[in-house]
Amino acid sequence: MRVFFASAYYGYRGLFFWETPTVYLTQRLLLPLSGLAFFSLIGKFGGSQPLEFYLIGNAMVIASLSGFTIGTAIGVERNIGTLIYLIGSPANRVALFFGRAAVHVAESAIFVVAGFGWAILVFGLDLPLSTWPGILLTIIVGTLAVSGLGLLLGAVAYVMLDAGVLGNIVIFMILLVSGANVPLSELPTALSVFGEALPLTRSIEAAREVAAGGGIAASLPLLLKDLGVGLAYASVGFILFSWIEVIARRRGTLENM
Amino acid sequence: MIYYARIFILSAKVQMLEVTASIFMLFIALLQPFFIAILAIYMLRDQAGFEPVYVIVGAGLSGLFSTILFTGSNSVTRERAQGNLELLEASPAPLMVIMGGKMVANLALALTSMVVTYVVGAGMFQYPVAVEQPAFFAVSMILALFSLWTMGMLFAPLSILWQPVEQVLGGLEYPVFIFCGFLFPIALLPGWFLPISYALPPYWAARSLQGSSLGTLESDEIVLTWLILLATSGVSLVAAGMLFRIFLRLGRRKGTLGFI
Amino acid sequence: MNAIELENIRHVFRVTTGTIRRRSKEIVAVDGVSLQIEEGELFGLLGPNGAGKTTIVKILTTLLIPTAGRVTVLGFDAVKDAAALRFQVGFVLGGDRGLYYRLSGRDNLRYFAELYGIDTKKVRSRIEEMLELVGLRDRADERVAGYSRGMKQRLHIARTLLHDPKVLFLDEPTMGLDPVGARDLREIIKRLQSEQKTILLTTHYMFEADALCQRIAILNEGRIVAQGTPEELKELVSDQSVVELEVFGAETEHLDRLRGLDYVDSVSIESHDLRQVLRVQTKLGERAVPGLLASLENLDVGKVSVREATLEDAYVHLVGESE
Ligand SMILES: Nc1ncnc2c1ncn2[C@@H]1O[C@H](COP(=O)(O)OP(=O)(O)O)[C@@H](O)[C@H]1O
Ligand SMILES: [Mg+2]
Repeated sequence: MRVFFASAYYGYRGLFFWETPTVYLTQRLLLPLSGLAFFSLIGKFGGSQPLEFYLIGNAMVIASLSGFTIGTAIGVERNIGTLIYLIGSPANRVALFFGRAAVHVAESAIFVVAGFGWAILVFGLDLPLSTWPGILLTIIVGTLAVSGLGLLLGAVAYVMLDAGVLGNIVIFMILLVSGANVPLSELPTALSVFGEALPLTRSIEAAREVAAGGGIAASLPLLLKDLGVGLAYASVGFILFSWIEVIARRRGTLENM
Repeated sequence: MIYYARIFILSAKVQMLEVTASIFMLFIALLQPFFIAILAIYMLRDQAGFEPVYVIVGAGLSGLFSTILFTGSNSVTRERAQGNLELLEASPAPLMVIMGGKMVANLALALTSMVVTYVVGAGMFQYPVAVEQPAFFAVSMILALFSLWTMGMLFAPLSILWQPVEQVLGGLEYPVFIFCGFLFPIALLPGWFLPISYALPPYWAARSLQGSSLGTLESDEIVLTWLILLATSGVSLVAAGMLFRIFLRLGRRKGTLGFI
Repeated sequence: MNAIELENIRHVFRVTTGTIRRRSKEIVAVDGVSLQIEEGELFGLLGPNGAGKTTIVKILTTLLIPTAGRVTVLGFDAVKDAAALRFQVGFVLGGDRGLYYRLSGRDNLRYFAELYGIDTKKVRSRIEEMLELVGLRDRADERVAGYSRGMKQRLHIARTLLHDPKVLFLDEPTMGLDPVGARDLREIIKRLQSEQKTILLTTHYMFEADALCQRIAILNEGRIVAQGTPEELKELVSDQSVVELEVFGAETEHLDRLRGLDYVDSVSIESHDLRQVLRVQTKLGERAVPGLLASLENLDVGKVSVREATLEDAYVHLVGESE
């Protein structure tokens, strides 16, 4: 438990701390909020779906930041040379990396909320107060689900150097195949199957249902499925982790040279 | 003069090797516009007057701009992080000439974005792609590249002068895509945003490229667009020159040419 | 009892080169090393760059799994019992990386105190103690980014001592430090030794190993070429003298000609601008000088001196002519 909290606190401050709140907010929020605006405006221009389809979809996509940050944190540790000291410590790996991940989950969930706020204030998204608890639930589930994928990415980053690029590719895949911008039914089968296999897809669908007044209970099965998908990725991530740590120790790839 | 030209070309060569060795830069130049083009086609193709060439040019421009944004803003900071900056400045070659050469290499990489989006439109989706006014398009392309070159020259000293700028610049991709109307008309934006769009060289680049490929602009309109494009690029080049001088003066006084 | 045992350790790195046509190459970093280090001993591993020192330290600290051989530290197998072993050992790899620059020195220590599961009640006092030991108390709340090279290295030492490890691995700890910083660090190492910790120190400075270590192993190209107390190593060259010849314009052929003489054991060359210094190890002492001069016939020879061989000469003799 201590390793968990210490990793959450110091890991975040050590790797992702900015000089001033303004710089922090611009750097962390500018990208997701402007991305939301960009894709929603393309959607509006195209007109094949109502604007709120794009607004909700792209607000939910912000959750993928969590997966991205979790996936790249290890690469950062390797770059600054701390990874080898972490691995050399006896601390429990699960607690260490879950501690790291927890902060990013919380941060990203807050950013998704900010995304919805931005969609409401700037683009006039209409979300009745009664839908908010349900939306909040889908946000939390969605963020947790992508974070599972983030753990898998993190494991891959253990041996592969450029986790940043891998993370970016995943974010764009999510933009394309998760139904955030294009309904799954309009995608070629190969892509829509891929969409089903990625986390977040069902949470996005659930968010739209909840926003349309569908009620939490109706979308619970979707959310549970998404959570399951996230959990599956996280488990694969962890199996890979223990295996890859051994490989990294054999090849000496814990450090950049 | 010949000496400067040689430095310019050599710097371009060195930078070419550097950027093509960076997986991240290759992602920005090739993969990101690839995804954006596919996404935009799916999102726009149900439109009544859908024009594939509009998406190809717009998504290509987004890749061009992103590549210049990232390579430009890290071209000086990277030299400093590797400890080369002091050596470069100590050499008799002016830093701006060196950076100018490097920026040409960055442009060459950036240009592949257009190729990628063309392949997506004409190859993957099998759209017949043709440009209505090829001569105008060619001139527009050359001017667009020049304007991006001047922007790269501006990002370089900006990001090294104020550290936060380097961190924030990365977040400027989408705002610029939005304000420059790469993939939707800026008429979709609230009216008071227009002055921002008009001040940005890439807006004029997008306007002349898309106008000439769709044939929607009269020739006097195109010429006017070119003139404004040149003027805004000129402003950014002059600003770049001033920032470079400030940076070198400050750097020599405070010793920040080496790593801080 | 032995704290550290290496049995026939071998480590081969496989590196791939080329992006398009990939070739794979094997680098033998450690080639059959066996060592026993006793509890409480300060043992020096000495060798030139690339000899395999860091590789051995990483194997001992569980960070690298050797290609072959057995490693035990305090009775734990460094491959199989890695998790248990990690509580018992501390390590510092050379260089100034591996710290969170955005955090203060104290916060860096706090984090690692948690990772090593140090008793919550004792964390504070332990950190103070360590900061005191390495002399960083006044600067502990500043960010590490502003620390000098020596301060970072001392912070690393404090970090690795937090959990009071019984065995300590220090990989070239004084590398890159100024003379004063290096001396301060050596004082700290002496203090640790007096606390009965087992310490394995690697270095490529002969005098450092001589001044600190009880026993030394000299490593070259992944193999141990000599082992013993500093005195024993000096014994290796006790019957040797060194003839130093100042020359101008010596070529390889001259060196080869000297090496060809049957009474010459080794020749090394050191270049200074125009002149070079040839160091010839021989058992003959001054009696060798006429013969040496004769074989350098057409060369300008300046000062010639003869002295007894030192530990440094033993090192040069063992690891070859370069460096
Ligand atoms: N991760 C690695 N991959 C490939 N080769 C390596 C790696 N680490 C070290 N080597 C090689 O192994 C040899 C021994 O290196 P090292 O143990 O670092 O030597 P030392 O610490 O004595 O300078 C060197 O030739 C080095 O290039
Ligand atoms: Mg080493």
